[in-house]
Amino acid sequence: MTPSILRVTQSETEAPDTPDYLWKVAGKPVCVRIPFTLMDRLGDEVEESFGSLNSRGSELGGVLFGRVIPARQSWTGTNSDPATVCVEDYAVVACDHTGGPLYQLSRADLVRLDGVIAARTASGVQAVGFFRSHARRGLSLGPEDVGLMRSRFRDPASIALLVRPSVPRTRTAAVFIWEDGRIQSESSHLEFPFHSLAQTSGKLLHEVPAQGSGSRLVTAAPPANAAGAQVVPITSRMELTPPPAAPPVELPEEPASTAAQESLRISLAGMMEKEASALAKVLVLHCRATIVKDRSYNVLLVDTATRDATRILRERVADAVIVIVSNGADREMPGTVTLRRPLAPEIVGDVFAEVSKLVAGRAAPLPPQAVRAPRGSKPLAFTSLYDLAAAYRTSLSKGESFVVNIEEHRYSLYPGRHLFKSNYSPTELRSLRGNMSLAIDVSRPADAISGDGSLGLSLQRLEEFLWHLGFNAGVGTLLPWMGDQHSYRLSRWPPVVRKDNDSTLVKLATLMAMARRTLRPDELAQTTGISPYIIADFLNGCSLVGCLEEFTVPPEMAPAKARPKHPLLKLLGRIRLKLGLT
Amino acid sequence: MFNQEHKILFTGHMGAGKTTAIAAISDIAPVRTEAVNTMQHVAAKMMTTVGLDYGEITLDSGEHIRLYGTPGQSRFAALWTILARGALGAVILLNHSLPDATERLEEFLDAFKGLIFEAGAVIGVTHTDLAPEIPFEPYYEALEKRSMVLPVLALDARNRQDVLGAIDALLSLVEANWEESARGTV
Repeated sequence: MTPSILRVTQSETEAPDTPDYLWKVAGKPVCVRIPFTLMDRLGDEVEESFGSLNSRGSELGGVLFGRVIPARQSWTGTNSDPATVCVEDYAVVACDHTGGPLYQLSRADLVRLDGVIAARTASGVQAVGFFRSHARRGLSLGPEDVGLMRSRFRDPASIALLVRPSVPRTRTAAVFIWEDGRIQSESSHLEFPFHSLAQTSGKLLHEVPAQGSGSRLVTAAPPANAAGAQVVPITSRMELTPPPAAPPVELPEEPASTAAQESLRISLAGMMEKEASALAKVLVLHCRATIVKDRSYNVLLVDTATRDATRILRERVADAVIVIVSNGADREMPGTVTLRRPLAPEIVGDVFAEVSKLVAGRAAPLPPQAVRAPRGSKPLAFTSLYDLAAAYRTSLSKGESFVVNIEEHRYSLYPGRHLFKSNYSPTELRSLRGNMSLAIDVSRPADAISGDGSLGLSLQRLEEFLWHLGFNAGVGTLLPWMGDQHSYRLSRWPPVVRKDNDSTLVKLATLMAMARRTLRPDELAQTTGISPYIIADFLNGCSLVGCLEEFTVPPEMAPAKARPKHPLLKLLGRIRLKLGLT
Repeated sequence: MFNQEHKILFTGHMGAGKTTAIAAISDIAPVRTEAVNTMQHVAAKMMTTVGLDYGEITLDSGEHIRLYGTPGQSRFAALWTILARGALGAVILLNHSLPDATERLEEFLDAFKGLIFEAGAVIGVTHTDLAPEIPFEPYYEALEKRSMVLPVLALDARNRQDVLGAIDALLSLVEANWEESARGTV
């Protein structure tokens, strides 16, 4: 027995009695084990940072610690088992974000990172790689990531782990490894859902008894067309139709008890402080709810009269039940629950009994992908605004009229005439944002192009509909035809502010209008200080409306020179201060 | 810095809401130069501005931001040019319910072309509640024809927050314009 084999046996015997995720690709020199507990903890931290107002949606990252089980050699001298990187812990390393919201380490950040590695190494723990959250398009390493690997994680078994928050779909991760002295930075050999539930609930996953001890490895059965990969890669979001060879993923039915046990975790972030305080007492005492202040909520209460209501709704957790607190005469928003004033305990109790059922219903697993009928024979069907927006761009915008039913709200669209008619406002799409289980179908052609006053149908500009569809489709990520390395310019003022005059969007549009040059999404984020997710939504809306010019190769620009602040800019600041403008 | 003066222009055709918008944000009671409206067919109101309106915002530093409202009739165009000189920017107000609102917009875009390119302007569309079905598209097209991409905001001139929203957009515009000039792309 060679020493290396001896170590393997010893290590596996010492493995904790918790299930791990195994990232393994046939023929690759390294596989990676990540405990589900760590996966969930890290994933939650990434999502919390993603949704945090303080971090403005910036990326976070740090160092992965653990151990490496060397490759096991067969008697022929060839590697039969790859080296196994066991990730056991991680440490977040703060980033100054001097260059914007992306996790790109400055010199001071690198000193901090070295300090973290040195401190842990001194206590006998090995740094096995680095991780960062990924708030960009795709899942690939940037040049600065590769630089970090080359400078700090040169060991052939070192890894890089990227985690993309669950917007708009499943939280996803990718592992990057060294192969013959280089890293395939453009894409990982395997992307995988980064959540223990996603790993353990699918029928494609099964348990493999670990050798030796009580340790369990949960891995996926290899798909027929995946060349030895052990986990089915998630379907690319850009696909509008599933590849024929991929069988549909069937998720097991959620046990009834799990859904029933889903507790109410309520956020009152969108409510006036005094009223929220009184309501919190009622909710805790009468509804046995927990009031939370982070993004772990499954119910969000919003008073639409509060100043930040629009932003709070826009940045909400995708699957949360929205409760709109309103006055008696206010209209109900589709897809939400309305809680009308006065907020007497019995009224609150009744409403939250209904909310509990909705929460339990939403805890059930969602269908993994849209169900689509063959084009031409039956109506097209989609389950998210994202898919509808993509379909509009690729095929539906080609002139012919069509009817789209979104959760039983009928919109007749006439792309050739730039008009639509409906008795529903497209602003209602906001409440469907991020929902991946919508009932959307499209059929051709629409009825005659004329308003029907008796039914409350009036012809309206199509751009109004497209703006709201585009703005709410990506939920913080760019739509499939766009790129975060592309640069953009407004060709005309977008219909952003017609109804709600959102000052953040006005600011964005204003900057783009006056820039007289093209700007990448990250440049926009850096210049305005606005979250890259809002910028992505804004660009999506503009793009679908058609008021955005896109450049894959931006014109060469001289960088702005550092200069003292001009008196004019100081004056503008003083005016803003006086008028209470932020 | 103390006692320095700067100005923001409120312009637009008669009945667009310039006087009201100034009153909504001015620190002082606006000074008005009004006379009996002899053009009732254009705007159904008893009085209209014939000289200019004047309001003021005093900053904590002691500086005054002067708010000038131009008379709406085109026969006062000479006064527009004088008022535009040295302004921080302009808010062009449009009464959306008028059938010739687009032509009026074009008139003001041309009259204040210099100020728009040097500083910036915001289009504030008022009275949208009277014509909710009329699209903004003609305004966008009028701007596009002139290679201008300016904010087009629906606002109620009586509502301070709406008017401040337009001022906010104007300040962002002026700032972005200055930054771009400093960068050398203008």
